[in-house]
Amino acid sequence: MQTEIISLQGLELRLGNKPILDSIEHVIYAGECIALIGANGSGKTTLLRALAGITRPHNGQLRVNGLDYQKLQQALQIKRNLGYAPDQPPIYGNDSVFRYLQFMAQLRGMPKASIAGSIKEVLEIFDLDAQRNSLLHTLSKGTLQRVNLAQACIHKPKLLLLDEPTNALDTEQCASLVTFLQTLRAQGTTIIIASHHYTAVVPICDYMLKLSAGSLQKILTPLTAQEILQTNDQLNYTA
Amino acid sequence: MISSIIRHELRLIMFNRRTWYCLAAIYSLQALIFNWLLQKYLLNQTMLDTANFGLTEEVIHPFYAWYALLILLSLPMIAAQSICAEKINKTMVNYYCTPITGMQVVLAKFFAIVITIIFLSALLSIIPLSILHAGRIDWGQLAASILGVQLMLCAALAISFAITCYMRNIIRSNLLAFLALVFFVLLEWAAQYTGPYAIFLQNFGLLAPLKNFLAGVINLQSLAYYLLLTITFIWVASKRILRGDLDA
Repeated sequence: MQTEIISLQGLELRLGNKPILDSIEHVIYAGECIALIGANGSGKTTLLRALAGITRPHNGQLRVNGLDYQKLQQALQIKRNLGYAPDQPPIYGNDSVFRYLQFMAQLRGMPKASIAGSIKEVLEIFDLDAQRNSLLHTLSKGTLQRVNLAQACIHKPKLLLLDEPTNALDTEQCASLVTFLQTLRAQGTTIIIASHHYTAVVPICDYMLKLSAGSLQKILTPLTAQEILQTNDQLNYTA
Repeated sequence: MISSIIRHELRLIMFNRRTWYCLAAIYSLQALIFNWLLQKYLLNQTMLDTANFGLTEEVIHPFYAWYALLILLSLPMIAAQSICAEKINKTMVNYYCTPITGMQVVLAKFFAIVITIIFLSALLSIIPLSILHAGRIDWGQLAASILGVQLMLCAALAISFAITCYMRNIIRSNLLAFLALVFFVLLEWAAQYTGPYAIFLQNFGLLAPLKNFLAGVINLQSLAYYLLLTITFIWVASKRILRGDLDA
């Protein structure tokens, strides 16, 4: 039997007074990889932020592993197993790559002894070894994006939320990111990716959720998605 | 966890060029103030024809009072830089999605700034100590002055933090925190116009207990006032700091 990891029941999200998502119902199971697609302003980032506990639902219920963000202790428990890479890398310009990753590992409560090893691992995975001691404000957008992804994965989260992870990455880096995500998926990590460049992430996703006009309009199976990509029609607006 | 954030905050403060410009400016200004106070004292001493008269009262006491005022005026900016700037740079998200509480973030940021202020106080204390070879200092009064200034600045910093946590705009945050501090300072002045409530307002003025400390008097009332003010506003800030985006 599949384990429910995220359950959305009548979820309503707003930005100020503006409704963004309305009465969303959906269940995501452990180990699934899902792509959130939709036009600009359709609510992909808002939904990811709600899943990360940053935006509070206006109505309805959002449960992660059966836990509720509204309760402090439960929220802390959710966040221990959560990795979130926002669309803009949340970096401190005067920190070096190593220092920043070390800080993020400490914030996530990783044991001191394992921090150095984990940093070494993600530096290798995201090809950041050469920039280890570089100050973040001196790095290119693509490198910053890799640092952003590295901080989200450093503690091997069970739930990984990636907002536009392929932004600023070249084709080669996109391919290695997809390979890495496949490895994570094989290890049982639940991955949710919001992306405009859905072509890159389709191969690893179980299905795609299309956000439109404030709701989850339809669920595309990889097959349907592939067909759409081939016929190059319905999703053109997101390209 | 708190110690990691404190270390991180201290690194951000100390590796920032603006911090050192500000420290240099405050140090230079305080040196000038000290020189002016010393000259005034020497003039008074000549007129009184009394040796070593009230060096602590006439020089050290106003020196720390000026220092307290200078830092007090800078605190809204320091608090805004610590919290609002993180919101603007979108680095606050690092705290939102990691298993830490608002209280941990506020306490860490608070202590990082307090440590910086203590560092500045220690540096500045070299100036008044330089007159040791020519006169005597009342050590008790000096210690009480330093303690009083630190406690008052902690309370003012907590007030600035609480205001800043509700703001997204640095200028608005600066202005409101500054007005809040002026409000607390003016309570004492307003007391004289309030008749029966005079004592109440007088005791709530931010600078009133500091005068006791500067005069060398450490009393429980003043100590409790600053501690309560600090704890209350830190609590307010902690309730808000990680909710900045939640209700957006």
